[in-house]
Amino acid sequence: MAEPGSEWFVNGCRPLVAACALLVGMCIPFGAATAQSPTSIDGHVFHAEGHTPCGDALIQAWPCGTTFSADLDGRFEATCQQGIDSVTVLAHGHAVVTALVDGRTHIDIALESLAVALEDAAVNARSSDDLEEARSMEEAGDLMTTLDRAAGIRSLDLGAGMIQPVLRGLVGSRVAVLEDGVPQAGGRWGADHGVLLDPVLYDGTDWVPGGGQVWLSPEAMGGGVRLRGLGMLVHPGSRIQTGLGHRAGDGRSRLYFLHRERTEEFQWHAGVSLARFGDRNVPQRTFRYLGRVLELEQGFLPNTGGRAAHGVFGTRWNPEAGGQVALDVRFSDVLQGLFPGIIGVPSQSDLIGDGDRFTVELPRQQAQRLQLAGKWIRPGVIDRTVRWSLSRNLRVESAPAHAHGFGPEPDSDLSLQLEEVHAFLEGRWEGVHGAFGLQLEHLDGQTSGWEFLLPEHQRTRLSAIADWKWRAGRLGLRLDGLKVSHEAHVEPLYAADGSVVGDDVRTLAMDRMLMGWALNAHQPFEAGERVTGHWTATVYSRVPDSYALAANGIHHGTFRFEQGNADLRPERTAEVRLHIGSTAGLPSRFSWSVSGFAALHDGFIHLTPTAQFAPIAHAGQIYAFQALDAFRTGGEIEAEWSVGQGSLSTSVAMLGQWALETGLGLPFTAPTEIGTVLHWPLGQRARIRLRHRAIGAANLTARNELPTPGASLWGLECQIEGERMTLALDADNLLNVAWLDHVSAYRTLGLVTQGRWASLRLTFDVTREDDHP
Amino acid sequence: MKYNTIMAAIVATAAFTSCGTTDTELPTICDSDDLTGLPSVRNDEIEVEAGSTVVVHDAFCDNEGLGEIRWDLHSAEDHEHEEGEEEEFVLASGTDWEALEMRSVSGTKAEEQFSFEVPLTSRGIWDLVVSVVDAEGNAANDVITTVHVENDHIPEFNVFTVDGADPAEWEGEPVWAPGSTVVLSGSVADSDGVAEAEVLLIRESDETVVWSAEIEATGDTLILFNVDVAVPADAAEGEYHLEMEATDGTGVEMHTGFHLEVE
Repeated sequence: MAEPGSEWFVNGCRPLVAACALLVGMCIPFGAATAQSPTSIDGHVFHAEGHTPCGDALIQAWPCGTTFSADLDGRFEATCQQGIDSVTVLAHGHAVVTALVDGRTHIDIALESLAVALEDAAVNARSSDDLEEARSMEEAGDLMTTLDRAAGIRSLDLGAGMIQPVLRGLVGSRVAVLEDGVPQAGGRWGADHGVLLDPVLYDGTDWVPGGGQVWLSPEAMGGGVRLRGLGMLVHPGSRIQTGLGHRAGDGRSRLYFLHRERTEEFQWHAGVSLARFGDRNVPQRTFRYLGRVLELEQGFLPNTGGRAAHGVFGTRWNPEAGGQVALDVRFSDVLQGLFPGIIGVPSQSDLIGDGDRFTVELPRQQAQRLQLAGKWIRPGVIDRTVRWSLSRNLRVESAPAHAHGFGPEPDSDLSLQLEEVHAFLEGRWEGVHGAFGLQLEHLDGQTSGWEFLLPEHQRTRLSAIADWKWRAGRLGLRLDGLKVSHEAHVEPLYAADGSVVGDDVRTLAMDRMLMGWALNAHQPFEAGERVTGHWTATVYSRVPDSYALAANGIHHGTFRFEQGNADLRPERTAEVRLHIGSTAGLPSRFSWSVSGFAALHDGFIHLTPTAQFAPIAHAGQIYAFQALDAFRTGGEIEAEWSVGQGSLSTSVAMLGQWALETGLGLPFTAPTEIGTVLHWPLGQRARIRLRHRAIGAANLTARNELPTPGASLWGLECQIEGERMTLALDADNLLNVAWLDHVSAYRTLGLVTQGRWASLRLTFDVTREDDHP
Repeated sequence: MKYNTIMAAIVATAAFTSCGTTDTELPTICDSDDLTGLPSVRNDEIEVEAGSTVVVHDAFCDNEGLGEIRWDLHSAEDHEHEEGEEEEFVLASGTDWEALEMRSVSGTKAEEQFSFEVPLTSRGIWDLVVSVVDAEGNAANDVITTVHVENDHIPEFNVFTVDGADPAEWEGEPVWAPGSTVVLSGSVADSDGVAEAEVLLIRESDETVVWSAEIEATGDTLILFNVDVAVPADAAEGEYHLEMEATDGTGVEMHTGFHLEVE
């Protein structure tokens, strides 16, 4: 913990104290001047039938005419400086509703579906993209914090630039990250290979728990994180979203700008986000690695700084006839220094640092992505949609040249390069009874560098998908045909004197055709007037990824030697999920929900330690991909009480994962976590949130995985919202607790999670509407 | 509600699916029955002579069945193995060598020997790390001992003070300023007499010698020296290496030194 008077305390806390004082000072006048006229209202929009949230509604506040959107929970907030007398609510497939405000500050609005009578069946007009299981995620300034604050999700990271979502204990290629329905590629199998995106350059983020979702790609065994593509503005005009922020702790600064300009039929948009971050601050001075005790003299993880840049440029064209066309170019470039212990054994001199927290030295990882994506929608009795994407993903890992075992030293820093070209095409036909679609996907991976990990590989998938609307629920079926192949890789085998004594066969060539499938039944239900829910029962299979089939080398990101198995067959799963909760939109001071799942896996493919050591120095034990039956269960309980003007909400996330043959836990089984948030408004425009995370001890561990003690973490958020501006101060780990994150890649090294940090963010959202004729 | 009943039945069935059990007990390095008198990795330190062959003997135990043993011998420079361990100023010299051997074993107890050749040109401290894994993949905590290599064959440098300070008292890497002069005080010795000796300052990024000076060598077996190391005023900031090289009366060469930072 930082001592009073220490450099961090003085330099880090002084601006934060000043910022707190500024915010509190700004909050008080707002609080004291609580206005009678409702210049700001909030509420919920829900479907009249079933009382489920209507997450795609637009709310137009009058007389100012400004349009707001509801989130996936149907919640909205609307503000007009001159006051609000009524709101108009629009949602696809529903009758337009105009409601008088009558001085209220909270208003709930029910929407009636526009039902289509067809063959005596009334079918709701709802898109196959609208998944009832989806849950919205509140943007928290950076991807890692956004993920960690959603119950059931954790983040796994190697630094502020390389972050992976962990959904209910599953990670990597088992979690699909979809941008407007297109799965993101780019070495997703690596826990150290962060996803390349910034949520501010999308129209929102949600996550869908669990596997068997027929449209989310067969990889989505743990579920998917969905980023909504930038939509067209509701009216001709423009919208600018911009923001900047700084985080004391690791010195992370971020700036973003997103502009949209729409005429009657055409819109263009462009956005960019830039971030720079320094070495991660940790309240820790020593750690142990491979039996060695090493010091962190400066209180930072050296060489974990970096930078990230993301951008988007695109158009939307919505002519009267011909359908809607969307075209986007997205790019990302992330440079992340890697902690010296990640590659080889760190020496004490590596850990001293060079005094500049922002310098990125070897080892490092650079990830680049360039994507051209498009969508064409032709509405009609049968909506036709074509999605396509072509992307190039490059991941370059550089390290000081060193030889594992005998043989010559490499002559460059390039330890591993992974270049992937990914193409995706989806055609979808959707009517009132359901949807049918085809997905075609191809991935071509080329590898190079002196550190062999996996060979050049290819993967082609063709899927046929059918999704019937069945009663108020759905029945989905997906059939996959996959062709997976990889090349052979042979290296010279050296003797101690450097002479070549044979061949080191790292992989043999493979070319296989594999089948996959998913069957999914989903049904909402009501249990009385005040309780609603839905259940899902699904069986599905997943073809192992190329890494599980072909890897054979040191994986620097996980600090160990990992070995694939070309004989693995698709893993099969039977899973049930249940969600029940209080009906949204009913007047109540208490709301709650419970979500749970149970999954039985036949041949769950995961890395398990073997009885062999790696044939090269400092590489530890060999971890091999094995298919072992497994059982996973868990869930989330969420509750919210209205307390005076504020609210108290709590969430409990639980997870259990076992390998059935051994009775041991599966790797990365997150411990139980209880999150509590006290939300208190200060007037119309300001609020504070006091947060607490109680993380239980992780004792359900895999073989050789160390248990992790629990932790208690406090955080504080203070936010002021203007009509177009938001100022937020967010502090985390207030007591600078040294705690180990069981699902962090750094846990293996005994390195604690980031210490206290505080970020100050200022954002603007300015919409201008052209005059209507 | 019938759906809920079905759901509950499925969940209960899955939850009560019988789980297997497995051996999770870690293998150990245990007492040897075969008293060979050979050194063990459980010794605090193993003293060896350069040019000799060393054999280490240990016994390994597991409750169900052993899997594999690994011996990893590497230089101890620049790290410590125990928290708070006294960190000596070690001038590792001669060949930076290492040895690695894996051996499959079975049964509940195995007596195994690991032998290695110590190069004639090495001097300093090495770490011997022994790891063992059982047949189920349970890995024991590494056991480590220090291998102290004595050498009468190659010249030996000793550094008494650097700018008046005992290098054993250093905390981390020394930092020298461009344009500064640092006084290096020490000795170089060899039983065959020291024929040549030199001190060099080398920039690590491109291996450029930015400064050097010869130590006057008269063929004596012990030479005391005081050298003023002049860091060039235009020396680029970064990592450097102070190299000390010597040749004895029979032509045997050696080099040693330490890392520093110019800032």
